[in-house]
Amino acid sequence: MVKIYENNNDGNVITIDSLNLWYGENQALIDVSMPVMKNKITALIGPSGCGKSTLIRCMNRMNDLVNGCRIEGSMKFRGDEIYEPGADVISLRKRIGMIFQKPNPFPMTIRDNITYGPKIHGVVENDELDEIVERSLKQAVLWEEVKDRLDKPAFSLSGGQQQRLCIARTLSINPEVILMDEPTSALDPIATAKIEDLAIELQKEYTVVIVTHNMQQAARISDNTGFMYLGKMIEFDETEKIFNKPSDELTERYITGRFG
Amino acid sequence: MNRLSSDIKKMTAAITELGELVAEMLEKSVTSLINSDVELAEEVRGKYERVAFLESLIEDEALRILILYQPMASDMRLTAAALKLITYLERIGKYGKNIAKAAIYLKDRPTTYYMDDVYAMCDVAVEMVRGVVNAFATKDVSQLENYEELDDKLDGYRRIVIDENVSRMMNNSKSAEACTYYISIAKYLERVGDNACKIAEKIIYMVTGKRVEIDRTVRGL
Ligand SMILES: Nc1ncnc2c1ncn2[C@@H]1O[C@H](COP(=O)(O)OP(=O)(O)OP(=O)(O)O)[C@@H](O)[C@H]1O
Ligand SMILES: [Mg+2]
Repeated sequence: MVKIYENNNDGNVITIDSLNLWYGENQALIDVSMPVMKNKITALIGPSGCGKSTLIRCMNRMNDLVNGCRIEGSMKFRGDEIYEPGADVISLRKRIGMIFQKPNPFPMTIRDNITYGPKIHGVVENDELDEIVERSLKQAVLWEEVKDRLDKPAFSLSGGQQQRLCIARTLSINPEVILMDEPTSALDPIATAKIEDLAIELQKEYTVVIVTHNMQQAARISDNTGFMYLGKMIEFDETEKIFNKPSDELTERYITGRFG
Repeated sequence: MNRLSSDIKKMTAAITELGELVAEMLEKSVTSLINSDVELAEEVRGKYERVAFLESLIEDEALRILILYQPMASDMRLTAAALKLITYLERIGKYGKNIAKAAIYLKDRPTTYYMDDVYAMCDVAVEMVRGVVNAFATKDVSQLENYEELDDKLDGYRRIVIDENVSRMMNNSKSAEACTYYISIAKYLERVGDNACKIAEKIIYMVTGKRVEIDRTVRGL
């Protein structure tokens, strides 16, 4: 039976419970539990190698592609286990989109970058595709900058524009959750501010999970923050609490820069 | 120790110095009043310069820390507290200076006013200031638990001092000017208590992350 991911309505889009993950012999996630709340921005922070990318990639089964990767525990999307046999990975990836650290537009025109996904999912009418292009680019706050050059190659855009194009590409197939793994680490402060504003804007309609090394960024834009260390979720709480008065000594030491 | 830690340590030391300085000024201003000691009163007035200096030094330092490090958690709470504390501490220093000035004025105007209630107020006010300075240095907020009571005590005494002096003014107009000074001193000491309560609130937030309201009189409750 194919999962349809519609079972829960409790405000948590994703619920992770005692998740363990191994790359071969190496355990990269240890008993991780956390919710991803609907229409909220959830930030994941922690030192390099603590498992942030691994965890966020689990949320749309990107780790399936890694050889020797083994996962135990529970990860539910809309109340349904996403790692059960029979889980519908295609529909999952359509509903949970991912933005990477380095902008990775496809080597094609700006327009084709956006229409690629919808076409795969069966949209053929040109009118409808045009509409999707305009809507997605507007949502990603890129429309004004590119509307006169839609048929130029995506690589002709600046890094910040490319990143917003990737966000537009993700939005083109109407996902419910947008995962962002360090989406601004290669961008200048102006492009970063645009992406941050965008994340806050998107949160009205979507649910956002963002991995960031920029603590101020996590504090500025997120509602909830998880602090990870050595594969464990050390503390997960409201962002204000984490950055103002964390409960865990390790969190305090990390965010105040007194670590290691 | 990283640079943020050492800058925070320097700022903390300056705040402690400011706190101890204004507590000392208050204590000495009261002693100068009791003993009609003009020399001591002048010494207190002279110390105000250092208060003003430390206030702007700490403000600059706190702003520098905010800009350079964008501190988080306990560092942020401490830096934010520092910016508030300096204002309250400076005011307490100014009240000490004002009491010292009053002591100089009152020296040549002996009255029969026995001043017991003014002394009692001084004891409470000094205790409160010493308490917050100590709580800041030790991060032990348990000693701030009775501040609402102490504040009420100051209010009570102030009312007695005012009543007493107003009736003296009405009975003997020659001492009227001196009486207004005692009333002012009572007002200063009561304001010292209010400021100490505000400091206590900030220190409790700094240490525990919890907002408390000690000084309900400010809201007129
Ligand atoms: N494809 C992989 N194969 C084997 N081990 C991996 C793989 N990806 C990650 N790891 C290991 O898993 C652990 C967690 O890595 P992960 O990339 O999740 O960390 P991270 O928190 O995202 O770090 P960073 O902040 O540097 O991006 C690390 O020890 C890493 O070496
Ligand atoms: Mg990573």
